[in-house]
Amino acid sequence: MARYFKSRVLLPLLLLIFFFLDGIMATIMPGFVGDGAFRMDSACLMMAFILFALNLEDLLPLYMSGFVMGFLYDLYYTEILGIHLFLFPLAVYVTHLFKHQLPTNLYASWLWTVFIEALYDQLMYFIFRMLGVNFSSYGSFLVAIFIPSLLLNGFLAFIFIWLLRHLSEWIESE
Amino acid sequence: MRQFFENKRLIVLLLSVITSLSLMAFSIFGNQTVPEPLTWVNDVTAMIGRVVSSPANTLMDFGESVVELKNTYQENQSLKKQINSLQELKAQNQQLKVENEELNHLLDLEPTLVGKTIISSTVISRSPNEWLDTLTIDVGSNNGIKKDMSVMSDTGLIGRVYEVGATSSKVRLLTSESDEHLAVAAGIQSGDDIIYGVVSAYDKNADELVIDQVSPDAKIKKDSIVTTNGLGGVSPEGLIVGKVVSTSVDNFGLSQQVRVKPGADFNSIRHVFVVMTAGNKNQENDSTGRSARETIDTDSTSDSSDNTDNTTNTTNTTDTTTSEGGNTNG
Repeated sequence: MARYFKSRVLLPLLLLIFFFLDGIMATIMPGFVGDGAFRMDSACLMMAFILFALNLEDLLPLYMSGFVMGFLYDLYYTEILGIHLFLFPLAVYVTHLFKHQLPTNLYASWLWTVFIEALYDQLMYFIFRMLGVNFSSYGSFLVAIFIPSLLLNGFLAFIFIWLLRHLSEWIESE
Repeated sequence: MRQFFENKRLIVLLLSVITSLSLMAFSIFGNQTVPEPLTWVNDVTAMIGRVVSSPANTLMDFGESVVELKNTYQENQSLKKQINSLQELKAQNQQLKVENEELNHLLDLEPTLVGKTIISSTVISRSPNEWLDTLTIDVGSNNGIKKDMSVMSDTGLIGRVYEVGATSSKVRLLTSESDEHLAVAAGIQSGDDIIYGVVSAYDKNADELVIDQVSPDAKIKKDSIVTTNGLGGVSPEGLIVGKVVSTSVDNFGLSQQVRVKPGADFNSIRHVFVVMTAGNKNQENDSTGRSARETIDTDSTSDSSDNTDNTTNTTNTTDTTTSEGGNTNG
């Protein structure tokens, strides 16, 4: 019962914190980065989904949360419905497909998280470019957004790996 | 066919793709206004976001206070020097205000762009996506906020309200690549003349706003102050936009393009001011106690235009009236 409660109620609440963390980071980070030539976009929620998918056995609550959080993310941040609604559950599914082929150590988890995050950034660039929201050239996107964001998310992933591994163990414990 | 329907994963994947594409099409090609139930969802999300982001905001405020404390002595000295000139300006302002009201009365002008009230607000979150660049702020229709109201930081115009919920609103920044809300009627103060133009683009690489539709004969000096001019009735007049960096004439010699360094720092926006016009002021006063917030008469904004920072400091320290139960953020 406790396990059911943790995976069905507390897991979505934890993900909600990561959801807001993205907005908070977006408010705070530009001030730290400096003159506006670079921008670090965090992807805390995406990383949380990937790391929970790597560590949890029962993925159904994660898929459900993926759809709900994706819808909320689109509504609250992106304003174009349907992007994250699909991408979050897809990230969980892809991670689930490959997780048994990955070594179970910190570096493999980190590399996988950063790899998916990099794919996510690229995909977002092309989606927004296709939808006519973004007019930046690919070169300026790489230099000004992609690489700084990857550095930030790579750093955050190290913290999240440790944190979410412990949280996953706690969620799956009776 | 039977084999297809037995493959549940494929069906879920297909349904997800179809749903996503339909929602995307709805968002892009559908009616631009957000349906009411979705605004409620946004509002509830913003309420939770306010609680979650408050520790981070408190921490940042504390950090800023420590930094500001270091500069207090120097600031105090420079402010003392400014006091004399400000008193003189205040007297002049008073005179000009009376004169302005008389002239407006004579011309029978709409008073909406004359008096301004501002509501201070805290940023709950910023879109993590570079290209959209939107803010969610903690004031909404309960506080008298309406769509298309101008939003300022403490040093200049930053954008416009584009979605209003009961307790939260969304602001599209001037730096957003989505240019549907960008056009702002601007006035370049060149000596005694005001030269009109329209802020039509933002150059991200140079961090400069681009003003088009400026007369080719206009003589514009570098560092001239650019403010909103109130034409079109969307943005009130006198809000600082920035300072002129350079000018260039287009290929056909028909108009000038003016590049402006924004007065606002778009990298660090945590507290903002929503500018209400005089017409909205009464409505705000009629609202519940929850909506009564710090209101500042900014009539003096356009008068003291020595430089961007000074102008804003003057604005924030003159004629401040705090309503009962007011939140004095920012």
